[in-house]
Amino acid sequence: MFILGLESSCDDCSAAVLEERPGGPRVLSLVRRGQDDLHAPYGGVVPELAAREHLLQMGAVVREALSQAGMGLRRLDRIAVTQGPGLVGCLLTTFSAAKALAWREGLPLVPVHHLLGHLNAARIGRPDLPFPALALLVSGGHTHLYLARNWTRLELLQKTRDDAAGEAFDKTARLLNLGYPGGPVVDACARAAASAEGPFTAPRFRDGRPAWSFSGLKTAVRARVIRDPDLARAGAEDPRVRGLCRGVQDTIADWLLKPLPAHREATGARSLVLSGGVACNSTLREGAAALAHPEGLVLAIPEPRLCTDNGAMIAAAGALLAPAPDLLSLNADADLPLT
Amino acid sequence: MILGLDTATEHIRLALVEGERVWTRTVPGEKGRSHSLVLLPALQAMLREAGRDPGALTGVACCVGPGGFTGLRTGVATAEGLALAGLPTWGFSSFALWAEALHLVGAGRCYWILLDGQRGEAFAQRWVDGHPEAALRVPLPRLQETLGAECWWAPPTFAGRLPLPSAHRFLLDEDAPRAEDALVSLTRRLSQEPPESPLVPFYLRETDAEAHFPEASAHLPEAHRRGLPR
Repeated sequence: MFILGLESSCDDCSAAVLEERPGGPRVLSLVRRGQDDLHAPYGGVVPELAAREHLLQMGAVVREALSQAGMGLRRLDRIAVTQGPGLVGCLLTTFSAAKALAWREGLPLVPVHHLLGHLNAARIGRPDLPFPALALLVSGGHTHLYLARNWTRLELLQKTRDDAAGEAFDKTARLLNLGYPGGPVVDACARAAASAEGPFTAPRFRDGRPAWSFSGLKTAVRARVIRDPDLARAGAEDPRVRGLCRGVQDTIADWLLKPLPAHREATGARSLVLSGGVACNSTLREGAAALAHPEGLVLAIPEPRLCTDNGAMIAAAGALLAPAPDLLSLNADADLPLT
Repeated sequence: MILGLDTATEHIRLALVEGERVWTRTVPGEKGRSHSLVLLPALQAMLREAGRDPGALTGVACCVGPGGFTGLRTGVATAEGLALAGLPTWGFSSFALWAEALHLVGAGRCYWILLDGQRGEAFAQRWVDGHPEAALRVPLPRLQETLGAECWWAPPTFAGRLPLPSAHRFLLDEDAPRAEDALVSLTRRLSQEPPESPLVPFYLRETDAEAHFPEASAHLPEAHRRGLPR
């Protein structure tokens, strides 16, 4: 089965062609147009600009994906597209186009929940993953831990109560004037650091329920920059900046991974999936690897190009989900719940 | 069979043009029913009425604004989706649609089209002998000064709010049918011209990012600011 997967829920416009075979999915093409240069001067994604850019890019992105796969529309078996959650003006670009294309060509359309896409990014490398699995999906918009019963069923275990982990990376980079997006630059500085500045106080919740919070960490970084304003001007070569980045990165990775053993114990999970843009982070990847083995968990972390938002993960999820019985009645949903 | 498509306002306007045969439809805006939900079912119903299926479509003429941000996105992305199936596309502005409607009723040589620009502004474009001048954003209190004694037209819901004497106002009595006629006429004419791809929206208003952070917005290309002027 050949699937065209489309994704534009935030600031990446991506299309991919995937072949679903008995042994698992194979990526035939993956085209992604990021918008980092567009949003960099603002220090974060500007939804209106992202939506304007998607509309200009989408046609070329899809054509390139089809062309790289050597695939005409006639050979496609279905189209999969992100239905939500995400920024509505952005979602609507590929969603409206996918609907129109599927309708015109008589192709089945599969609406995909974005987070099922991130889970299925791991299926591309580990189609034989044992379930249930802990799925830690971390990006600039999400910090969620799920119990995956299979490739299409997620049950929430815990999530952030405020900001996503990716926002803490972006904010740190912004406060230190290191550039945008924050994840890669903070990672590079952290790796070059001789030592980590810290520690940062972990949040505690009165109700005692497992959760994350990253707003306090952002405030703590801001407080350090206020205390030592030179940090905002010192640049990526400065040992104090590097030390602070290392401290922030170690803290985020530590907080994200800490609750996993208890959840493994409680759920009997057999695998750990780490996906989403923050899954590109080197400390988090190393930490997840170090944790998985002693816990007896099979580890699946997609390659970096499949961790960030991309059409291949949507196609991979779309290969397993049922096409919409009536595509005309479908709409994109910025707050799409998991069913 | 060419599809004419306008989603830039709360109403969706559709036209199918095949030689001398035409089918038209206006779907009034309804709270809670977004253009994204309404557009394709309406088009499907129209094709059924014409006894055809989606495969009969051979091109799309699409309104690219200025207009509502989300509606415009739905319409243009739908046209771009059909373009992926190999259909040629043509863009036209919201002004051009109404200029066509005025032309069809013989509105004269020179007139202004005024559209609701929100935020106390009109989107205004002067048309002379069927050709548009550069579109403007005009604060409502300055409209009179900008227009002088020239004739103007605005959608009825907007016209009532304009601080302009009605002596120079054009009235299109039957608003919806006139717009549909104009859409048919424009679609037919555009389909004789070279297609354009991708369709670049005409926003006229810059993004809020540029309005609030002008110094951070120096890098933005014009297509992201005001869009492609028409």
